[in-house]
Amino acid sequence: MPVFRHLLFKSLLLAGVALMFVPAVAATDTVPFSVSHAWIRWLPGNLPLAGYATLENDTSEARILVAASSPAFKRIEFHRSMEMHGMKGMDHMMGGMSHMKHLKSVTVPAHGTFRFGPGAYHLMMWRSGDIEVGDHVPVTFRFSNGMTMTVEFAVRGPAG
Amino acid sequence: MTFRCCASLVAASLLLAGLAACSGSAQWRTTDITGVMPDLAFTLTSETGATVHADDFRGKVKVLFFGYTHCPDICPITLGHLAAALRTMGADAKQVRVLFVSVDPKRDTPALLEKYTDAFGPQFVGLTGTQEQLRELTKRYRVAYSYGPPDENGNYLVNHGSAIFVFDRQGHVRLLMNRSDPTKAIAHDLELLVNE
Amino acid sequence: MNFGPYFLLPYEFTPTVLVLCVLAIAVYLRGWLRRRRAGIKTGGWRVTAFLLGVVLMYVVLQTHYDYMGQHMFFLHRLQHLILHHMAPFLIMIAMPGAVLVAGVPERLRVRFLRPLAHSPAVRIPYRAIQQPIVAGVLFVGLIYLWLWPGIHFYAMLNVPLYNVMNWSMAVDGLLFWYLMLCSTRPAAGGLHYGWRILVLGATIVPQIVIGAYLALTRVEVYHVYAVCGRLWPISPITDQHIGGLITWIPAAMMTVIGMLVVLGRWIREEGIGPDRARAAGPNVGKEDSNACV
Repeated sequence: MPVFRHLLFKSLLLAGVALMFVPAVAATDTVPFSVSHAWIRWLPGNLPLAGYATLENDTSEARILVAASSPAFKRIEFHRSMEMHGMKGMDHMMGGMSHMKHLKSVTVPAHGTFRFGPGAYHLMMWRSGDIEVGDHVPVTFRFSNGMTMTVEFAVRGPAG
Repeated sequence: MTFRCCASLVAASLLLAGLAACSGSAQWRTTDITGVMPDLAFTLTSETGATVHADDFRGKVKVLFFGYTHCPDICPITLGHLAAALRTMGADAKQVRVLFVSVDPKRDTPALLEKYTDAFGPQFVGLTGTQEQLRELTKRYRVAYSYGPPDENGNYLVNHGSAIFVFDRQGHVRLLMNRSDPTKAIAHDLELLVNE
Repeated sequence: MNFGPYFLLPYEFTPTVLVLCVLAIAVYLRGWLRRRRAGIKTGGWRVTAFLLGVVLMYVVLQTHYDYMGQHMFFLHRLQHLILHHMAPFLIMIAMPGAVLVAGVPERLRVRFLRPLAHSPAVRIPYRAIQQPIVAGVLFVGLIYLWLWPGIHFYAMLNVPLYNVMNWSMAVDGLLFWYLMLCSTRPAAGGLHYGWRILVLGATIVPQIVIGAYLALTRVEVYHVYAVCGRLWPISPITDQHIGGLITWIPAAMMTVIGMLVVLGRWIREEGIGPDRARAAGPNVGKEDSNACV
């Protein structure tokens, strides 16, 4: 059976070589950092709005989001609703005993996801002009490593 | 002594009622609190600035929820959730009024409350009042609210209970709902109350 | 939260509480004065303990503390610790029986209170619930009953049930600590000190179990505080953990202190010698048995 053994060896070698290349191929196939499901909940008048988005980090380093800005908003802060099963208020417990109004930054872990979602972390946005349901508003995220990225947020109705 | 005897009787009957509710014989899908709290009663300011009383909503099924408009996340989620439930109810939804009571009268003017509640649907009514009126109503339903310190922009948080109280057409307390109840369960229970 | 004079006003005014507390203090002070005039001394710490106990009960029931207790689980636990353990303990360790008896107008005592205390309608149920095992079971049972999640939920929402809860804790606390610390001496036919220590010891474990469970669990057991809103934004689990610690440590400590007090009396009275104790007994016993009518 030397022929069979030879074939087995060859195919194993081939598989091994192929496997070596797989991670490299996969890595080049995906976007290392992406933002998706970006939307804003519209409310009437001049009330502050909540923005939501999912940040995916496929790099090997954590990314720290330090600021967000937009021509449509005077000010954008990172907030967290205290979920306390309904008792609301922002998280005053972040960073131990400090009473923070809002979070200075949020961290998207390496090969991880950070979600601004209803009832939890959200962008608190004070608008500078008129915004209508159906609009798409650009928001620029700035990270601690200097990276910036601009994302279109879809404006949805108050009921989401 | 008579007080204690009466109270004990009430307690015993309540406990029995509670146990009956837990045993699954009830048709409700949210928490039945019939008889646990007093009938709906309040004097507040309406969206037009006029004085309103609970009696003005007699004949409707009333959903009572406390909040404030400068809360972009949880309050709209809750109101949106109720709106979604009402949308599935068809004509029955016309017999329901969602009373959104703002505990932040400093910022929530009747005009702002009108715009805010209209964004969720015609059944949504914004109410507010003086601190004294709000304290009376929140005490009646054992709900707490308090204000956080203002930040450099004058913005402040309002902490308040998340309870959604439901009253039948006659104003008797019937159900306790919360945001995590599915819209189907909320719609089911409101329909039962409308058709009682 | 307003901590001004407004805080001292009752949140839910109950005339019964006000009348009972004022009456207790008035009768006690009258008795203390009359005894002093007759040359009988009452230790200063006793007077202080009794008054402090009554005032503590009043504060947790009839000030805005009550409001705070309704909106924060750990403050509610502190309220019950005071109603069920601390205040009754302070009142009973003061051995107020003789002073209170001296404070009640003679005619009222002889014509009304004494016959009432000796009537079967009072004697029989009183004896039944003051059986050592019954008293111990009742003491722990009430803690478990009101902390049962379904019952706790309704008790926090319903005013009459809420009042029954607080009253039952206060009354049971008084009865239990009376039996442990203030009732007739064993030498005069009262409950043996060994029994008292045994009952106290037996109540420790179940109190630790429920306290430790609440202090350590990651499950939110009491949703009613979120429904009604907490006083300030702390997480429900933190609130529950502090509440659990209050139910666990100070409550168990009070019980241990109670055991030490009883043990101390036991040793002291054994030290006197059985003959002398018996000789001194009936007098003291008689006074004590009339004391808390």
